[in-house]
Amino acid sequence: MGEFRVTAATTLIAVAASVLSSTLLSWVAVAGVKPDLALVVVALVAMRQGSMPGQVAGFASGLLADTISVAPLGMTAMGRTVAGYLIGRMAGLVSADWVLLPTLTAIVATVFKALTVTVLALAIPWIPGYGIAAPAFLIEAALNGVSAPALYVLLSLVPRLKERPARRTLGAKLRP
Amino acid sequence: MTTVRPFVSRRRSGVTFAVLMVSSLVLIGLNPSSGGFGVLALAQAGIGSASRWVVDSAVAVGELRRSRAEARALRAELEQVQQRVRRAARLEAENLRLRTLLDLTRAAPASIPAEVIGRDPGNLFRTVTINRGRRHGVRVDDTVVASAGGFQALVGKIESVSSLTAMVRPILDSSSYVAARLERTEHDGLIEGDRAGRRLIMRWVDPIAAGDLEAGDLVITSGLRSLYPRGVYVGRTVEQRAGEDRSSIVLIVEPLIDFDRIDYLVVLATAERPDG
Repeated sequence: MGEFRVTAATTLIAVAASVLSSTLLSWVAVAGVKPDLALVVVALVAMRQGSMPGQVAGFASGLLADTISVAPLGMTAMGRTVAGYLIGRMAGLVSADWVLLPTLTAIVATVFKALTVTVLALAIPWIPGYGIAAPAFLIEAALNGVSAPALYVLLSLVPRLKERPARRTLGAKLRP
Repeated sequence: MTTVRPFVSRRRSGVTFAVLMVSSLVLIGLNPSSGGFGVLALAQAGIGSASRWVVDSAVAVGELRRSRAEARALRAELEQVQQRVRRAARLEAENLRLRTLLDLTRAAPASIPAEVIGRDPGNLFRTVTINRGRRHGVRVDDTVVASAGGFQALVGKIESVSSLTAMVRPILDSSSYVAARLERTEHDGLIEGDRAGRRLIMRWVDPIAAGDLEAGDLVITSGLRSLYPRGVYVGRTVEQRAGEDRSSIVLIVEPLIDFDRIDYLVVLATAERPDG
């Protein structure tokens, strides 16, 4: 039940962040590139709570982003699902301060998303690939990294997301 | 069944991941139209209006406080005059923009002025959402223009329409194609969006044009086998390159529109209507 509530709360926040990205965030765009706040939310929650809330919130918020864009329905959803799942699998493996860890998590999540979209672009020609060395990707990764500590603090204010599950170590089995 | 349930229970996260990935792939494969666009666009419109109200209110409060402080000081008058000059310049610019918008509306009778209420949430596409939809007469494939430096410049086309909003696919999009012509030399070509999304690429231009071209030449729509009407300004040439097969040249075109700052635009009812 606890995991369900965490997942639901994360999904709601990520969906709200997705809608905000299409309205307010164009004001803070650098060279036309905005931070992907929903991805950062997904990554930060996955980092604390594991892959389940991360991937579900990533899928839901990505699906919403796809519906208010000309992006193929499912493209952003897949990118965020992969990022949420993989970051969640690494939950608890690394420990650092509240600035460095969120920043690194957000940047790694952006790389996961970009790689997923790039693989999709190879298979589907009309999907534009990211290009890991492209300015748009580098700017987005930097903006995501910069915004992560602030979002981390804000997310810590949400009671459901504050509770940290038991830590795992590398190679340990998931709890049933 | 008895062996599946414990497996799913044990590997809940992995199974969910697999289900979500398959769902994403199925959706991408089906490529359905965005049914939720209308409802979500309304949310965008609401947030856009609310944010504008908050910002306007904050600006208004700030100006009031500043005015009070300035009234007490000797330097207030100078500051006020400067503020007035700045505001007048802003109003003048806005006036010019709105007048051009009005001219656009008058020049093309079947035109619908609109305001941008949302932009693409990601960074791979450059779509904008406008506050005019089917109810206002907007249809899919209608041409969208805006005023830029006194020109009626091409923004893109209507990609999808809901009752009260519509989504515009800009010409910067890499899947967008525009039949174009150099206004001065009258050489034709085909414009497509750049993958980087900042400039346009005009391909299939006759190599004979190479000698006549100058940087800054204006590019307009040719209207040839195209969605877009003839004579709408697109951009200015900035660079000339040899085509891949040497039988044509490629021009890099800077759009007249600053797509990151566009606020007002006009929808031209150029798509076919069932009622003619």
